[in-house]
This record gives sequence, structure tokens and C-alpha cells, in this order.
Amino acid sequence: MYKFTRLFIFAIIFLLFSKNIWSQTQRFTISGYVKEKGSAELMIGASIAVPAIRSGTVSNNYGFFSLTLPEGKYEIIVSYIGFEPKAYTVDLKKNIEWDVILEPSGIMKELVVSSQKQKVHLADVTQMSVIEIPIQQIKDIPALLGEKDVMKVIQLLPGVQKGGEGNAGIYVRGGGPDQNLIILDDAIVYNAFHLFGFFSLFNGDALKSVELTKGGFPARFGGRLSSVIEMNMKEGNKEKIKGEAGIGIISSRLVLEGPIIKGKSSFLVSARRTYFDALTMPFQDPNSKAGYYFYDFNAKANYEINTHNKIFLSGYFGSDKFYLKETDFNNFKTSAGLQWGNLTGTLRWNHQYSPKLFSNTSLIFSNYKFEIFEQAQQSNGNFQLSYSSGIRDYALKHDLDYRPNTNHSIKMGAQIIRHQFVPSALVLKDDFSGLNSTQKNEFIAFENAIYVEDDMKIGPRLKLNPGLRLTHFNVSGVNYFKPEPRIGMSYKIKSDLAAKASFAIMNQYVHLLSNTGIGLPTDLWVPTTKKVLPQTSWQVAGGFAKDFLERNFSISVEGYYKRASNIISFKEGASFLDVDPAAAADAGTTPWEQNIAMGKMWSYGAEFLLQKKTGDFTGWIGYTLSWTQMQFDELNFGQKFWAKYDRRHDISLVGMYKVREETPEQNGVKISATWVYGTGNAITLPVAEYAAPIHQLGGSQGFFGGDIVSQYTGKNQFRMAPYHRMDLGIQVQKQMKHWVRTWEFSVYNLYNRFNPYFYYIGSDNNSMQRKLMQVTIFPIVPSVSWNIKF
Amino acid sequence: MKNYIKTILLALPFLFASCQRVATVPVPNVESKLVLFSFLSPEDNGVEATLTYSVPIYNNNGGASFSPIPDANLVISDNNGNSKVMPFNSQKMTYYLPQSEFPIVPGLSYTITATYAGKTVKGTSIIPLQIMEIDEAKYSVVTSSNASQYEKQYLFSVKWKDDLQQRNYFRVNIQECNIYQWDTSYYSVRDEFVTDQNSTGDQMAVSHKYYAYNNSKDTPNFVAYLLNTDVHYYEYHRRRVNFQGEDPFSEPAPQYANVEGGLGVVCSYRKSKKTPFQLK
Repeated sequence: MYKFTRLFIFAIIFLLFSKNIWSQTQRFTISGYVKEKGSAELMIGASIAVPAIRSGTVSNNYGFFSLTLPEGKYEIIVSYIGFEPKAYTVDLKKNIEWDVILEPSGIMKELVVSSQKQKVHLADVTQMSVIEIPIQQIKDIPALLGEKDVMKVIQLLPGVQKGGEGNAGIYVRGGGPDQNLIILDDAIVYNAFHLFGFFSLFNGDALKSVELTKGGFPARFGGRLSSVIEMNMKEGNKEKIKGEAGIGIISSRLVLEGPIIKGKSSFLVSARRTYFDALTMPFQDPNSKAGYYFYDFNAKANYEINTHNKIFLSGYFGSDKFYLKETDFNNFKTSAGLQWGNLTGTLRWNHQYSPKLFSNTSLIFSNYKFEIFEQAQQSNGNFQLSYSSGIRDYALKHDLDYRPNTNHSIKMGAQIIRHQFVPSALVLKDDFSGLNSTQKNEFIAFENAIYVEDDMKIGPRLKLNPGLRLTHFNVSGVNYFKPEPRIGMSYKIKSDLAAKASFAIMNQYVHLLSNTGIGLPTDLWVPTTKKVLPQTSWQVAGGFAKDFLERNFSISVEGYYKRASNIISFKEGASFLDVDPAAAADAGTTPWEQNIAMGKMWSYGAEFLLQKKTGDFTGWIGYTLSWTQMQFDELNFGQKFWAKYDRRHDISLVGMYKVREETPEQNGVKISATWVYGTGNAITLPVAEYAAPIHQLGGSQGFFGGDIVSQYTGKNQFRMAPYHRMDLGIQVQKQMKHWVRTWEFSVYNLYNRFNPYFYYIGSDNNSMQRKLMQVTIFPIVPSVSWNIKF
Repeated sequence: MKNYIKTILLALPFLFASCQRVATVPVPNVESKLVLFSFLSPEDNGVEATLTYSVPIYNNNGGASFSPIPDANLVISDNNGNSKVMPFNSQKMTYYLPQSEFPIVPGLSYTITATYAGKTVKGTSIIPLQIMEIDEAKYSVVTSSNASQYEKQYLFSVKWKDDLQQRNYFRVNIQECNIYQWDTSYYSVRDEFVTDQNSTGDQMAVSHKYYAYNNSKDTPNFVAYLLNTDVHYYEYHRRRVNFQGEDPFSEPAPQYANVEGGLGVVCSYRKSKKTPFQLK
């Protein structure tokens, strides 16, 4: 492996210093930002193409682009999905700084540019296994109880599987839910779920872009084995106050954005809260009240110091809370509950050193905390209990984006993360017994990395993206150094057909102790230690991408093979609902390290995606054929077994159709529908019972009948019933005097399929015989929401 | 707005509605199996074995008694060619032979074969050679509350020397005798199953922490057992103690078996014992 790494380093140095980059012919640079008309929102991934020389570039995560060309006259076309493309003629005799303003489609009809020039085509991109999800599609796809959800849309993509019914957790190419790096404005989000995983934190209102990378990872990403979900928040409208609001079945939401200093600075705030508790409160016993709510709050502000310097401050905080309040006949009060939440904050500074060199520096804070609490007034004093766990990060990140010419786009950078893990903290005060105890189990760890990558063109057909990431992890005096070579390549067989391949090595130093994968708040983030090694994986993928330019859709077919080692799981018999505070506080003697097993994972498969992103009808067809196996010395007697979410077939059909455009004269109507099918989860099923004694020492043994235990199928050898479901949504928009109003009617599980959430041993009403019973939590669920946009 | 609230209230039942019904997917069809257990040791007075049936879970009414099968044919044999039928002892409710009739000898391999209703199962174990003596067994009282409920935390430490010539498997068991005069029985309070697979020296040690709640300030009596076991005893017990019952949120804990054609284990151990002393 180290030989391979050395070869990578040599190749990168060679390419960096090749004549191609540094040749000194007379060249000039056009640089600037791509912005949206009306809001000045910076646009990520806009295409800046020079058709005459079949060259171009793409705006980066901050809307910045840089294009260095020989002196001359060029036609330049700037385009972005959903926006009218613009064509310019540029006489390049000197460096030019130039901000491009694009208008959403439908506003500017007169400029006609052929569809072939409108956007970045799949066949043009070096990277594979990357899918960008348009925010509008997230808002159009029907959702459970009308709660739009980024993670549930990601579940509809090939190579991505969901955990259980209604659950927002995702499994990418056989990897667990902890192996996904979820980033919001550079900040890692550790628990991305509300209400035990039924909803995710991200509803799309405050988001500008969502991109999923499930393989062929560029070197700038690291720290997780299976996927990167990168989300960027909108900056906020720099021209005028805009907003959106919505009232749904379980929550209401509001987004407001506008200028602070017109054209220079703007803000965005977005909030959502459920009101199940408020609605049920009047019907509850005044002396015994229980409730649940969650809320999200996003905020962002930015300031453009000058054309070369911009500052962004963004944050998210959200929380879930279950609570119970009681007052007894002596008027003594008791309150108890559990709550969990994330808090992230990012301060970013964009700086342009030169027309070719752009930098971003981020100072990042991320905190996740889970807490169980109880407070009671008693006749003999007060009682207070608080048990909590969590993780807190402080991070510094510096990224450079260097574009010396149209053949190279070099990214390099460094990051330092200080992790503070608190697997358990207990505060116990009891006036009656005199107990006053505070215990905290804490680890400090540093996760550092440097990286370099170059997206390069070699000749007219070949594109390469080699990269290297060097990682370091320090915890309790133990150091791990791991190199992570990466490479992606694309070879254009025809102008609209490319063959692609990628290879990546990944390491993961933080682990999630969870067997549910459903985002339970009791899931515990823990560090790599001397005993628990870093999780490691390598993945190789190959495939083809084909654009059907006239028909406006693209097809990709990919095959992958992934192998991971040191992945973790609870040992057999562990119960992950065991949140007994006293037991947790006793972790010093039975540390979590003793309760986990480490093993290997193999996943391989093929994915097919046919996607149409533009036009009145948009959507995709995704199909995944995959196999995922695991082997742990301490599980299943050391034998290989199918992963719980091994899914042989996974199908998603997603369609959105704009029936008619909304105008002052008529309502706009959009219909959307999804259908999903997945092979049933692999589970271990008890099939028989028998008496199994524990050998008693000392006294007479006699008949050692013992307790009853279960005989099981082999581990994960039983398949749950296949999962399938259809959802339907209709949006009716009307142009009102001051806003656009949208009624949305949707039905989750349209044909009322009884998908099993879990099985248990029980009996039905008609018989005393024991049966395998299934629990379905979401039969057909209709919902309605009312939204306005102004 | 009124209509909207009505809509929400009508829709609320859907939020937490759940449906339970018989699973549509067919369950595996399994037969009852013979279940044979025997823990062999030269330190015991006799050889005991139990034979029961397993019961399929689905499509029966449950509540099986798992009574011992009294009329099977059980034979114990060793690798020197000796064998003997084990009769059913109706007092012990097990198949039993005193060691005066069939001694268990360290280092020999023993097979117990059970035949009943046309089915035959058998399990084999090699008796460990050595008794591992406990070098040191001690405990300290770590904390004690001053309230009316006497809560004590005992920290036990048991040490012994390992035999580095081969891989060994151990069980350390601490038992407590209540301080009440009317109950002189010992009860197991902690169990530890360890192997020397990853140990670097010949010194083995385990620590136990045990909380005791009772109404007396007196310290109970303790006894520590160290068992040098065969691999079957070790593998069976370390999984057996992890079995937590069935619930949808627990990891299943499959049980170890070395009985061919059936379930259960035939395994063996050597036993030593020591009374721990309290550190002042």
C-alpha cells in the first residue's frame, strides 16, 4: 500500500510541475462569480464553456470561476440547470474580472442557446458516483406527512438504501449510517434526524445545493467510509426581502431573506417547529402532561468586503424534546424527559489571492448532545438526575482552489478538528440519601488532514482527477497516520459518451455505536482508541455515462466493489435501548470498547440511473443490484453473513410533471409521484426454543433445566417481506396579489401496502397459536399543506 | 382556520397509527431437536447429562415445559474404548453415573451418545489436564452510602498463573452467601469468561465490581471459583450469559452447540476454589 502511495505522490508532483501548467505563452484570465438575478445568490456548479476550443470550467462551491485562455476572441456560454443560458463574446487582451448574472428559466425567453451548450453534461465530468440533487426536486417530491426531506430524496437514488419504513437513515453501497459524512456549510452534522429518524433536519428551505458522493471520493473529502452529503445554505437575497412560509399537518415553517446592505450584505433565517404538543395539551389532565416537539433554526449572514474578500457566518440549531410533567396530591412536582439536538456554526472567509487562486478559510463549531433528565420534589427533599452523552468539534479548515489554465483545476488544503467525546456524563443529587455525584467520561482527540487533487485534461478525450489525502488522528497518546490515495478518470468515447473509473481509500476515526441505524438519540459517537482501530475501506468503480442531448436526459451505469475492515458492531446479546444511567455511569469498569466487535465488510454491485433534469417532465429511474456481506470473529461464530441492509434489488421511479405554468390568469399545477421497491431486510429469526442451563457451581446440580433460549436461523438468513410503496403529490399554485400560494395534497403509501417495520412473536385474535406478527407503522397517510412565497 | 384545525385533528391518528397482523412472509419450517447437556469434571462426584426436546416457536400454543426425557438410551464412552450406559435418575431428573462406576480422567476424550425415538445425537469433550489454582483472591469495599439503605460496592480481584503451552479458557465465578442466618446458600453474583489468546505473560487476572444492597452493615461471605475449561464450555457459556430474551431492539444471541444432530453442549472443566480476603 505504501508503494502505491509513493507512486501517487510522485505522479501528482510530476503533473503539478509539468510544462502544461506552467508554460508561459501569452495568456489571460477571466475570473469572477456566477450569481442569480434578483437575489445575487452565488451559484455552485454553473458551467462556463468556450465551445470553439471545447473547453471551459465550472463555478466552485462559492460561485467563483477562473478561466485562463490564450489571447484572442471567444464566445463564452454560461449556463445552469433551471436558468436561461447566456452567451457572451469576449476579446481577451488582459485579465478580466467579471460577474455573470443568470436569470431563472421562464423569465427570459428571447435568448436561445442550443440545449447542447446549456449545462454540464454527465459525460463531461471526471468524477463518477456523484449526484447533484436540485433543491426544487426536493420540494416537489411527495413526502411523509408533507414534511419535505433531503435525506429521503437521497434514499431514492441508486446505490443508496434506506433503513426501515419511514426512516431517513441511509446506507450507501453497503456502508452503515455512521459512514456518511453529512456536512452543512463545512460543519459536520452528527445526528441528522428528528423523531427517532422519521424526519431529517434538512427540509430544503434554507439550502442552496445538495450533492451526494458515494464513491470515487475526491481528496478534499475524508473522515467517513461510504458517502459524502455536502449541503450548502443559501446566502440570502441581496436585493430585496423575500420569504416563504408553510403550514403542514405536523409543523409550520418560515424562511426570510433579504439585504442588510443592498448588493453587499444579506441574511437568511429559516425556522420550523412541530405543534403536536400544543394541539394535544388542552385535552390532557392538568396534573399530568406529556408532550413532544422538535424545531430547526437556520441562519446565515454574509458581507462582501470587496470583490476579493467575502465573509459568511452561518449556523444551525435544532432540538427534539419528549417531556412529562406531573403534580401529585401533595402538590409535589416531577418532570422528566429526554432531549437531543445539534448546534453548528461556521465562519467562512473567501479570499481571492489572484484571478487564478481562490481560497476559503472556515472556522467551524459542531455540537451534538443527548440528555435524559428527571427532577422531583419529595417530602424529604429534592431529587435531580441528568444523564447525557455527546460530541463537540472545533475545526479550522483552509482550502485553496487554483486554476492555472483550462487543463488543470487544483484543489489543496488542510484541516484540524478537535473532537471532544463525552460517551457518558451523570449528575445525580438526592437530598434523601445525601448523594451528590457528578461523573464525566470524556475523550479529547485531534483529527487532522492535508490534501491535494488536480482535475486535469490530458488531450481531448482523457480527464484525470488524481489526489492524495494524508490523515492523522491523535487520542490519549495514540497516533494514527494514514495516507489515502484517490483517483478518478473519464475517457470520452464520443462527445456524449464517456467511460469512467475511480479508486479511493478512506479511513474513519469516529464511530457510531448503534445497531438500529434509525437515528435513535441513544446512538453514541466514540473515537478510535488504542483498542478500537480506525475503520478503513477501499473502493473501485467503473462505468459509462451517456447524454441524450436532444431528449435532454442522461444515463449512467456503474459497477463497484468495496471492501472495509475494522468496522464495528455491538456484540451479540447487546440491547441498544439500554440507557440505564447508573449502568452508563459505570462505563469506567465496563467500557464501551468491551461491548463492540470489529469485523470486515464486502459490498459489490451495479447501479443504473436514467435522469431527466429539465423540461416539464423531470425525474429518474434508479436500479441497484447489490450484495453486502460481513464477517466478525465474534459474531455468527466467525462465519460470513449478509448485512442487515443487504438488498439484492432496489428500484426507484420518480416523476414530476408540470401540468401548467401558474400565471395571474390560471393556477399552476404540478403532479409528482414516486414508487420504490426493495428486497426485504435480512434479519435473524428465532425459530425454536429450548432449555439451556448455565452451569451452577458449588451446590448439587440436580436437573439443570435452566432458562429458555431461542434457536435462530443463521445470522441474517431470513428475509423480511419486500418493501414497496407509491406516493403521490399534487401542488396547486396561484398568483395572489402579494405572493404565490401553493396548496399541496399528498398521499404517502397510496395503495396502503402493509410494509413490515419489525416482526415479533405473538398471536392474532382468532387463535392462541403463536405466529410471526408484523408491525406496520405507516399505512396510507394523506396530508395537506399550505405554502406561500413572496 | 377552523377547518384547518379540524383537518389536523382528523389526521393526527395517522401519525402514530400502527397495524399489527400476521406476517405475510412464510416462516421457516423446523422440527423439534434433541437437546443434550453435560458438564464433565473429575472434581465432581458423578457424570450427569440431561436430554430434552426443543419446541418450534410458530403454530403452537407455547408454554412448553421442556421436561427431561426419562426413557432415552444414553451411553458415555472414552477414547480408551470404555463405555457405559447412563441410567435415568428420577430424583436428580438427569442421566447419572457415579464416578466410582465411570471415572472422568484428565486428558481423555469422552463422548455421550443419546438415542430416542429414532434420533441419535452425540457430543464429545476432552477433559482439561490441569487444575489452575487461584494465587490470590481479594476484595475491597469501594464505596458505602451513609443512608438507611446500605449500598456497598465490592471490587474483587482474582489472580492465577497461566499455562503457556496451550490456549486455555477460564471461568471466574464469585458467589455470595447471604448474611441472614436462615439462608446459608451461596448465590452467583458475577461471572467472567476469559481466554489467554491475547495475553502476553503467564499472569492472568480478572476484576469484578459488584453492588450489594441489603439492610445490614455486615459483609457477606464470598467464595471464588476458577474453572479451567475446554473450548466448548467457554464458547457456550459466554454466549449463554448474553442471551437477553426476544425483543425487536436487541441483537439476537445465537447459542453455541457441539452436539451433532441436535442442540446443546457436552463440555468439561477443572475446578479450584478460594475464599477471598478483604483488604482493610
